[in-house]
Amino acid sequence: MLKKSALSALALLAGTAAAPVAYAADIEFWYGNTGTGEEAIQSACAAFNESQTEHHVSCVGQGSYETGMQKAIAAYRSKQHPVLIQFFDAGTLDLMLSGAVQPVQEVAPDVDWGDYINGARSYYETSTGELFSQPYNGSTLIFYGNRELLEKAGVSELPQTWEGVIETARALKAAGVDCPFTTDGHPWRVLEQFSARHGLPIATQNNGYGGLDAEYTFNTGPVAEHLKNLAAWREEGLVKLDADTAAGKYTTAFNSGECAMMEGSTGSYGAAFAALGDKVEIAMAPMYEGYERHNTLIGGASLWVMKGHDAPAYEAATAFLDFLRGDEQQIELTRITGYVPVTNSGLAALEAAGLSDDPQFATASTGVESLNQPGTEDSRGVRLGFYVQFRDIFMEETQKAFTGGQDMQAALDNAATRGNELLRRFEQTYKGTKLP
Amino acid sequence: MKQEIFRSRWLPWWLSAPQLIVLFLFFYLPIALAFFWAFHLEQPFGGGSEFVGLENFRRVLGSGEFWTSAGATLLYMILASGTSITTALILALAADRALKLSPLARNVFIWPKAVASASIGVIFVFILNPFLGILAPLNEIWPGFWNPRTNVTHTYIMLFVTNVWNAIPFTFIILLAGLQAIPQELHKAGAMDGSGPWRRLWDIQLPLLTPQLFVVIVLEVADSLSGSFGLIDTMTQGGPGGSTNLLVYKIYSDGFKAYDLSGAATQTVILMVLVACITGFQYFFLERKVNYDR
Amino acid sequence: MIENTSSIDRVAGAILIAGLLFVLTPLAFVVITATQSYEDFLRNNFSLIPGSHFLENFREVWSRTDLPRQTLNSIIVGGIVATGRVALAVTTSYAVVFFTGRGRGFVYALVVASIMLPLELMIITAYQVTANVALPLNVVANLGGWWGALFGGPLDLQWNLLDTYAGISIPLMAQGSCTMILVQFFRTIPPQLARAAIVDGVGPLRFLWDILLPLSKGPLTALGIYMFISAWIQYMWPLVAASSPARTMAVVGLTRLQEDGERIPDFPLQMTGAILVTLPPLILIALFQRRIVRGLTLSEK
Repeated sequence: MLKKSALSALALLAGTAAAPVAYAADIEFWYGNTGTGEEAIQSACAAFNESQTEHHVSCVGQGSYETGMQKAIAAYRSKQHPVLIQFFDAGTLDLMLSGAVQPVQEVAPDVDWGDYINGARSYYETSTGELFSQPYNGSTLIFYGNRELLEKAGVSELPQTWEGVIETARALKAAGVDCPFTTDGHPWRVLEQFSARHGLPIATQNNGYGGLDAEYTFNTGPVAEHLKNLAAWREEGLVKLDADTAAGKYTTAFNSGECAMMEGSTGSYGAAFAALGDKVEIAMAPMYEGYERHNTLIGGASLWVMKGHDAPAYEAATAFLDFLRGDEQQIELTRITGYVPVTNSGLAALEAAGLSDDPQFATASTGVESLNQPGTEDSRGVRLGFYVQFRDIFMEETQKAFTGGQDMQAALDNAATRGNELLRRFEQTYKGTKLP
Repeated sequence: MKQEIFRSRWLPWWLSAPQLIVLFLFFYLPIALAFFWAFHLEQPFGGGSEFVGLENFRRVLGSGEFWTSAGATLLYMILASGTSITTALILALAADRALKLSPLARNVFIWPKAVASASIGVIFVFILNPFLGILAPLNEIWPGFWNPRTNVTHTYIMLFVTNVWNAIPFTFIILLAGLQAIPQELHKAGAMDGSGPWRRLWDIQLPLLTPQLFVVIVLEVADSLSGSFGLIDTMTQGGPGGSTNLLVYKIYSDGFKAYDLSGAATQTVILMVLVACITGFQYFFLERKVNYDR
Repeated sequence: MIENTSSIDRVAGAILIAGLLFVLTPLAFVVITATQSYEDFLRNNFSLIPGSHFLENFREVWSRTDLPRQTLNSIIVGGIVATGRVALAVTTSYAVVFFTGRGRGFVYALVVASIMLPLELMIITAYQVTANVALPLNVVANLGGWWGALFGGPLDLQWNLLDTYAGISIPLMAQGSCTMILVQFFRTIPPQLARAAIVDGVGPLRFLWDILLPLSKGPLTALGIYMFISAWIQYMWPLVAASSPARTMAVVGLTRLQEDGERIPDFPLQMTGAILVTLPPLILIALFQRRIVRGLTLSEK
């Protein structure tokens, strides 16, 4: 009796999942942003759905890129996956080889993909120059300063070299600023962007662009010097990491006025501007003296089209991607978040509207300028497998060095060794697969 | 096992079937899939998988991180369940006495159960913040007195304190229930024999509490393992420097953040064997000491 | 009988006060923080003086999340899980404790083993099973291809439970702690009771229904309430198993209040959310505390 009614209740519950379909295609888009990024995405979705009646996009927030990817993996294995998914830079190769996505340029061959700025293209394109995913919320590394605190130390302009940064930091310290410079030591900042703009590789085969047999090489040379410097400067009280700040996070520490300078993503600008207003100053990230400046890498995330859906779904996806690529939407995203425009026409439209001098859009020109610096074979991007996990390893090992558990050189050597194990396993997992 | 009253061949199976089906579908089947992956090199999106025999085990067992993590996990299980059971036991013994405060305490000690682990971590990180939290004044007097963000010992203390807070309710309920079930006559008889209340604590209350202690130890050891996930995820993310990267969290991050499904599955299998050994130990050695007779 | 218990009582009193402080201090922090505005909080960080912004925070949480619907979802899932777990535990424990025959120890071991490994570890594979519960049938039917030989094609049943109440609830039932507690309880029931029933000619099912269940009402209610709360506070599985806002549970929904981390988190808002989602189970606990504790007393008096 009990069992019977329970069973019928289950059947009833199981049947309530389907939703009525009123559009030619009703597709799902999974994104990872929260906060201001989520706001921007949701308003873009609403605008798209209002702008036409043929398609409907349901934009489902997953809380973070990683959660979105976890669910996408599980969903793809169970054929419950969305048509569009947003994923961040570090997962590029994992998705390219996954077999679960279709190159966006194949889905929409008629689009003028050449309009994307070089820095945004090279990270997401194949060896034949075909874009695999559509760059969306693009960011890059820039340098932030708090004008009020800098003036305290008599500094009127943001330093452009690390030597200058440290000189300024000493002046700030002397002027009573407890936290002159802050970073979280994340490899995106201290390894990838650092190497790219100094024209250095982090791994052989041009950071993996040349093949799956790449090996990490960052543990000797300027990167290692830089990290040792950071550790020494931290001892001196000039540099604070997340854990050393009252806020517990470098961006928060900068936004709350605790720290005077930071290296951060353009995507952090929206919040910094909201907190500090025109006290925020930005510039391109600092170089060591004696190096020629190259481009920084595009960060943020791009949009991937997943396989296994029908033609109307792809029509809807294409329409939505077109909509997001439009100048108006790119300007809107920049306005809300500080992400930079990723197409030349988007950038031109922003300039034409007379917005490039508006402090709210300040990241657009600095960020794009940084992305458009002369490139090298090693500053195209990072095409290494299981790179998301490598970032965690790098953080773990260097954290041990910062807190005194081990020597920085040993930390970097360990990170490289463990990273190479990952690369070898990736190679084996995708044995026989060629880089696209 | 005693009791054993009814004789029937099929009825017990019918009675157990619903639970066994649910367990089969949502516990054993997922585990079986994990076992399958442990012997294969699995592409994250299921594009292909290659049988690699014991290769995954060789890789996992050969990595220093795994052994560090396993050691930390074992230590954490012992210390976390030890501290939470001891605390709850002391509280239960105190609340068992007919004091004015007892009714209030019996109620309040269960309140933490209502707080989701996703919130508990956030709350305690906030309270124990070295610069802003309740210990911040001490930090100003002695810099570095309390910094769970960089000092591994402090990090673990923070986890244990949070875990104790989180685990009090269940353990407290079971132990208090057990204490209250001890017949008054036994207390009286003890008192007649001239043993005082402190003495009876050791001679009557604790021995008669063994069935509940057994349940609590088994569940709490398991809970400290699974509960560690929520706490680490919200409080330390495995840091500083990987020192709190306990196996449950490591498996999660290897499998879901790093798409190493095979490695994660292999570690799950190893953890299962470890847990099976611990449970077996508990049943073979601890349950013998349990006193079911009243 | 008069006995001098003042020394032990004084120690016990001190312990209770310390315990109360330990449990209540964090909650007090939460409540005080929830009454402050974001600006107050930024200015003073931790304040011990309550502010007056709780209602504003409450309205903000209300407008930014879909609390009524999510609370309803939590109640539904909590109800299914509690009823289901208690029902499954009763039948299994009864079979394990009151019957002779082979396999009892094996069944019990199978159940107890499930306590040890959290669902969190099996998220991907559990998700895969939930996405198609008919998976094992397909596998068995297609073993050696006999189904295909008989019916001209492999069996490919699809029964997707994702994003349904059943799909969120049932995997949460696949855990044996409820059974383990009940087995301990059944073992303390005097065997004479059942022997007397046999002498009176009462069958095993009648005994379960007419004698054992009424006798266990207290513990079962207590377990039910407890399991309801346990399901209420679940986070990871409901996050993964429910993909539409229509099935999101309250605890999961509230994480939307957390920020990107670019500014100092709005702790007052988060704490307000924590209070709202904690209040229903907390009220249950405060109201039924005596029943929960008495109910779990192994020898029901």
